[in-house]
Amino acid sequence: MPVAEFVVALLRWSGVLCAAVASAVFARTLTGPPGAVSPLGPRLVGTAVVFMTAALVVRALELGTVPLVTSVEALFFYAWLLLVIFLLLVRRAAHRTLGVFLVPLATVLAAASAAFMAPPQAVNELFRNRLFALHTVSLFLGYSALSVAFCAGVMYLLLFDEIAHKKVGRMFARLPSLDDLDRLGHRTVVLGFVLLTAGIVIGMVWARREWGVAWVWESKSVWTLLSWSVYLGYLVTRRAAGWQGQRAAWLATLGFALSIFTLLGSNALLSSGKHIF
Amino acid sequence: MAHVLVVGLSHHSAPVEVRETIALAPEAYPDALGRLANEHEVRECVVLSTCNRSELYAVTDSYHGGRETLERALLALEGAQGRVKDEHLYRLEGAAAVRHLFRVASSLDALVVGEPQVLGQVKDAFRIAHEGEAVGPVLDRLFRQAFEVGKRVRSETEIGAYAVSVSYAAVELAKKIFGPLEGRAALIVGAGETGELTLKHLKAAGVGELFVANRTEESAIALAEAIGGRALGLGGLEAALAQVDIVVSQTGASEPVLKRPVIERAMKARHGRPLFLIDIAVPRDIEPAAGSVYNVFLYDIDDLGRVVTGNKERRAEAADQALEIVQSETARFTKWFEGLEAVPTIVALRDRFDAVRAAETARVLGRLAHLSEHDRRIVEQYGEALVNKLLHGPSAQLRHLGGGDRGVQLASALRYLFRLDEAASQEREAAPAEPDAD
Repeated sequence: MPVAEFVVALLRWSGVLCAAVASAVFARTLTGPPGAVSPLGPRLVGTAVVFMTAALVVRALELGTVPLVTSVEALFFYAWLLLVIFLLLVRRAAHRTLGVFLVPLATVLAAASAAFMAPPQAVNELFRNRLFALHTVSLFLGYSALSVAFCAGVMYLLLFDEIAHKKVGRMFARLPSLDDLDRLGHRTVVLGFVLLTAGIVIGMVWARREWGVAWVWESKSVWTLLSWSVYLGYLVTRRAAGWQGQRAAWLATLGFALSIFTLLGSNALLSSGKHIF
Repeated sequence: MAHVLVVGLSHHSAPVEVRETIALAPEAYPDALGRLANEHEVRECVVLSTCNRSELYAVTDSYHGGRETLERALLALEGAQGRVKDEHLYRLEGAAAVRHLFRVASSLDALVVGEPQVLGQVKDAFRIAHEGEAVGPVLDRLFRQAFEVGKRVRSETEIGAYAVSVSYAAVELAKKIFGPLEGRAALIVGAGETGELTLKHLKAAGVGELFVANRTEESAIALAEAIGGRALGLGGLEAALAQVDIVVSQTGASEPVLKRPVIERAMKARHGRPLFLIDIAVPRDIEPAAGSVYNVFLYDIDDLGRVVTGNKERRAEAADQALEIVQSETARFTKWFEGLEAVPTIVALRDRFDAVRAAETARVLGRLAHLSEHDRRIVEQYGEALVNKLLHGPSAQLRHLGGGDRGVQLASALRYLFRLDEAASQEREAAPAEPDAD
């Protein structure tokens, strides 16, 4: 392994380590006494982001394009985005416990991608394209927002369970209000949906330019369409039928499950296609 | 020899008829402190009086004399004469007195365990005594440590995290459903004590608009005026349900006032916005089936009662953890207090000087390797004599002053200047850290 690659791997793993320790710190907010949120968690996430940013910048310079060329690279970028978004959200007191759910998710994704990360390969000319960068970056920004919606949804369901079954306890003493969680979920779904839509449309424009067809029917695009429609359903039922709260939280969870499968699992089902990388 | 003493009465030892006779307002503290400080026996004192307790904390010269002085002072408080009897009082000394104050400051001794006001009251009592110059080095340290204990118990245990009254539990639930209650509206149907109390808490938590609905318009108007709300007839109820977020119901009706279809219609009009229904009437005012309408949260009096019971159990568990904190802090204070006695301070000071002498002598002798055994002994004796002569005066003075007020101050100063406590804790390695200055 060349020295530069070793240094980048070191940066990457340092980031993963910081995020892992942060996850442990956040887990303690659920087991420790309520009210005592340690400032250590966000600080560790900040440090993790610094390490991971450095690793991403180096890889981007090596590739000469966004570091999203392989699915492993994309995964690492996605984990990084989640942590950055968390740092933006944590400024509001109501979002502080979000770290309990979001940071471990990002840690697992970052660790998995760091474990399978290969040295940079020669880049297909196809990927040195502004549309490719826009297509992938907006999709991953969208997925990150939707991941936050998922975490808010899980938190909503946990707290809802305690309040609806009149067994207030652990979550009641620690999580923000149902209203806070529902609004956070709604906003991030709106944002995620817009970005997802933009990512799909840009992909279509790019495909038309490269291959002359806008839509390629293959596993990845079908699963993407499916999760996109779940989020469309979220927005429509909320507006038309007043589905806020519990049902919205379930839809955000379902949508996220489909998105994660689209991202990680759907390639296993296809042996050829445009989305193989 | 100095003693830390507390003499007092509280809800544990005296009924309210007795407690109320001597409850002092903070404005009356300086007078009581002044009289107490003038007593021959009393070196330092603090007066603490809340609606649930009246206590005198003091450092006195002797146990028996101090105790009698404090009892006399307490019984002489305005209103106490003839009503407060000997059996209402408790007297605690030394570690027991320290533990008592720590338990009071961390709300473990309160009528409602975990209620947060008491720490502020202890702080006020200390501040007033401090301003009146009734506090010396011992009570200063004791009370500052008590504030630390109160803070630690609050942040390290769940003691104050859960509501333990029905009306307050209802407000906590509302906050967990809606977040901050500013700008939210509430409706009360009927009238009753718990309902009005709940409304008062809701208002204190920020609820803006209040509606009052009642079968008779006059009583609705009367209550609305009393709480600053708007009166509605029962006819306006359904329209109001579409607007408000929280409903408190406490009518004397024998049939449910709010049935499921009414709530269903209201939820349609609300476009799914959550509605929190609090039914504290017996028999119930709200049909239980209304609670299963989507985004309706319905709590009846038994549900709230169960929440309160669970919270009380959690507080009791937290109180056990808190007691451990109190125990270890008590041990820490006692150790410090005992260290103030002259003899241990003199011993510690001598040890410190001896350690320096031994190290320096060894260093000098290392560089004077050519000295004969005889000469070496002279050098050693020189060092010992120097230390003995230098320490003789201070040791004699300190022994002479003993545990007196001035002696305690000087011993405390010596411990600080020569870092005697640090040396001791380094040796034992187990001593807890110093608290931050308050």
